[in-house]
Amino acid sequence: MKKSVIVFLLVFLLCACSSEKEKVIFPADNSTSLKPIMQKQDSIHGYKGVINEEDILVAIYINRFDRFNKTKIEKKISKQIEKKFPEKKVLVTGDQKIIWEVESIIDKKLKEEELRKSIEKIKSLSKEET
Amino acid sequence: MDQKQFQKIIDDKNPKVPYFMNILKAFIVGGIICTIGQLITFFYMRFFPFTEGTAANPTVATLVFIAMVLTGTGLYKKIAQIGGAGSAVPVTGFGNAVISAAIEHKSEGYVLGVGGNMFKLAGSVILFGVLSAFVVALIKTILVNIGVVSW
Repeated sequence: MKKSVIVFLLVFLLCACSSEKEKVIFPADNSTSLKPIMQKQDSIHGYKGVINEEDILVAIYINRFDRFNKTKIEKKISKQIEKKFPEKKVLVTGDQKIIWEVESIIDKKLKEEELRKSIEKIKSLSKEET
Repeated sequence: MDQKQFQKIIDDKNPKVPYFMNILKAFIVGGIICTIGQLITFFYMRFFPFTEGTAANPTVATLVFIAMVLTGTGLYKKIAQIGGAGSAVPVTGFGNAVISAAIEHKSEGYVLGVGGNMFKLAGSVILFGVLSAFVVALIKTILVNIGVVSW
């Protein structure tokens, strides 16, 4: 009994940190100039981004202990992206809900009109205060 | 025999308080309650349009509601017996304080008994919560207006 508990705990602990998060920008042909900015960030271990004509939306996986500086990291990265894309509206966030929403966009491979709509939806989500 | 000797005899006779075990139990029970809270947060984020920031409010309401039901059925008493502070410090302790006071004064009638005494214990939580929120907001407003910090 005791042994099985120990084995279970060991498996549980070892599994926890082994999943490699993907680094995706969607659509892929738009991503060439955004990727280098994301690659050089050391406080995140993954990102999922969506680009269309007017918006850039990047959901970042922040490292466990860097989460204390979540807003600072978000601000820093969004400033760097804004410098490179001054004509677009940038939203960088580490919020789990928005990570899920961006993942579902990438999974569904939405086309332009639908993509615009879902980006609007996510932006209104992130503005919600109540 | 003076006061000090008397106190020494009392200390010797009294059973030792198992501080370490109490702390450990409180840690585990409080941790379990917080894990359940985190699961509820994820539930609200997954199935409703809440973000990390906004999912906290319905989570708190749900946890208080669960604690109220458990108090009414008498289960929370048993949890509190094991967990001690671990069951009182999370927000569930608030629900427990409201309902246990209401049950206690039920015999005095519904209006003056239940209604009048429901917030006997939890009233101070609300009062000082509102007061400290007001003071903190005031300080922040002043600091923002001076220009030290931003919102």
